[in-house]
Amino acid sequence: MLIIAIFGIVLTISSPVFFTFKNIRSVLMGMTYDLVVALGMTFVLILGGLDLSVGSNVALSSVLTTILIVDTPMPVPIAILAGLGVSVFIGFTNGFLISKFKINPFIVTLGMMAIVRGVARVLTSGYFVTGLPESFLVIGQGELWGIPFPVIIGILIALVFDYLLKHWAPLNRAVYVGANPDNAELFGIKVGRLVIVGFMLAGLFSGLSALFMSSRLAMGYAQFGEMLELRAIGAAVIGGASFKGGKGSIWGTFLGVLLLAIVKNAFVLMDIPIYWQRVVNGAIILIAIATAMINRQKD
Amino acid sequence: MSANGNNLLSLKNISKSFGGIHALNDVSFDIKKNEVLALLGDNGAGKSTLIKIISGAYQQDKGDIYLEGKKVRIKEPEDAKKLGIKTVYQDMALFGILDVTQNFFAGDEYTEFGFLNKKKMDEKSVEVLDKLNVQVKSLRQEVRSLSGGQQHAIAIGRCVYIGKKPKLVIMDEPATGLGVEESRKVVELIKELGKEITVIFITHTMDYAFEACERAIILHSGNVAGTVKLSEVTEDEIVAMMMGRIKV
Repeated sequence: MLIIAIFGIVLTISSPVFFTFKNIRSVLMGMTYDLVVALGMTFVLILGGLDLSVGSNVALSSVLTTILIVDTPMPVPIAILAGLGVSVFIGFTNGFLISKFKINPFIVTLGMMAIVRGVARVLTSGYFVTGLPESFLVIGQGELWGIPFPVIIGILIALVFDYLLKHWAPLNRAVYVGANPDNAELFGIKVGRLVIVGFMLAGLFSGLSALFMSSRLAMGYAQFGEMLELRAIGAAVIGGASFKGGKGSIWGTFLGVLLLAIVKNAFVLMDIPIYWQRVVNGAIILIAIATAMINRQKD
Repeated sequence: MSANGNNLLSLKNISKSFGGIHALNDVSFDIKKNEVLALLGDNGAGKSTLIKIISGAYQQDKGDIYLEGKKVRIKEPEDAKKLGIKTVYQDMALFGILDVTQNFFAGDEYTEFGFLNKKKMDEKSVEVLDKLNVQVKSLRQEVRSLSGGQQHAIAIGRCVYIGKKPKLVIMDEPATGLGVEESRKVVELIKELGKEITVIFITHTMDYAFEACERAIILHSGNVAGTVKLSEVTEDEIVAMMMGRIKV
C-alpha cells in the first residue's frame, strides 16, 4: 500500500497525465485482465497449490470462443459458455490429476500450460481470429459512466470473491487445506474435492479474463495471456499469499496487481523503452517471490 | 460381548496387516461408559494402528466394532466423528499458521446458510479456554506461537467441547513433549473429562495411567497381552506384559 502510494505521488508530480481520469481508466482496464486471473491464483495458492496454465488457458478460451462465433452459426452466449466451459474443464483436469494421483501441481500445470498453448496455436495456425460481431464486442468495449464494463465486472467479482473467501465456510476451508492437508482430512474436510474446485475456479477466472480480452481487443489470439501466470503469482505473493499455503488475501492481490499496473503505466508516461518493462516487472516479481521463499525457510 | 449394555465400545477380533507385517492380531476388548481406559504398549505394539482403526484413518482387515451394542463400520474419520468418536492425535493435528478460533472450529464451524458466524465462534472459543483454564493474548494469535501446554489444551478443547459432544475421546500420548507441570495439568484434565465422557488414554508414562485410569489394556506385538485393573497390578507386572513376558 505504501509502495503504491509513493509510486502514485512520484508519478503525479513527474507527469501531469498520471492523475487524470483517462489515464486512471487506462490503468484500471489494463489491470483487469490480470486481476481476474490473479483472484483464482490466490485461491489456488491458499490451497497450497500453483497454477502455471492460467495464461495458456486464457489463450485457448479466447481462440475457441471467437472461432465458434466467427466460423459456426453458434449464438454468441452459447459460444461464450463453451469458452468458459473449456477453461473450467482445464482447471478440473489440473485439480483431478493433482488430488487423485498426488502429482506436484508445478509438474501438472507446467505440462498443461504447454498442451493448452499448443492447442490454441494449432486451432489458429498463429493467425488472429477477427470479424467478431458487435453483440460480443460490447462486453469489453461497453462503458458505464465512462468506466469499461470489464473493470466494473472485475471489481465486483473481486469484492464478492473476497467476501465469500472470508465468510462462506465451503470456500473458507481452503485455509485449512493449505495450512495442513493431512490434518484437514482428519477433521472431515474434503481436501481432494476442494483442490479440484480451486483449480476449476482458477480456470473459470482465466476464461473470464479471456472473454474480456477478446471482446475488448476484438480478436481471438493464441498469444494472449503470455507470462500472465507469472504476473498472477507475483501479484498474489506481493499481496501476502504464501507458497506454503493457508495464507493470501484478495485485497492484497488487488494491491499487487495495481502495483504492477502502475509500474507498467510509469514506463509509458516516462517514455522509457517498453522493452524494459518486462525486465523491471520480472525483477519486482522475483524479489517478491524470493522474499516469500526466504520467509518460508525462516518458518 | 456386544450385548453388554454397560459397554460403550466393543472390539471383536480386530486384525490388520501392512504387507507381510501383522500389526494387530485378533484384538478384542470392551470399554465401559464413562471409563478412562489406558492403552499401553511398547513402540510397535499396535496402539497407533488400533486407534487409527477406531478413528477411521485405517480400516481393519478382519473383525467387528460395536458402539453401544450396535455393529458399526468406520470407513473414514468423518464416520467416526458422526458416531461421536473423536481423537486428540499425538502431534495434536493443529494448524500452526491459523489462529486459535480457526483451530477450534476446523471442519466444525458455526454457520448460518453456509456463512460463518465468527462472533459466535469467538465467544465459544473464550468459553472453552476458560473451561480449560488457559489464557492466550488474543484469539487471533497463531497457535504455533503458543506454549506446548496451551497447544495441547486447544487440541483437547477442540475435541471435547466443539461440535457434537463426543461419546468417546481417544487421547494419543497427550502429554508428549510437555514439562512435568504441564503434563500433570493434562492428566488432571483427562481425569475431569472421564466424569462425563469415555476416554481411551494412550501413554508411555505409567504414573499417568495409574493416576487417571482404573483399567488398562496392554498390547504386545499386535496382541492383547493383558486386561488389568490397575489397582491390582504393579508397574513391573505391566512392563513385563508390555515386553511379552507374561500374559493375563
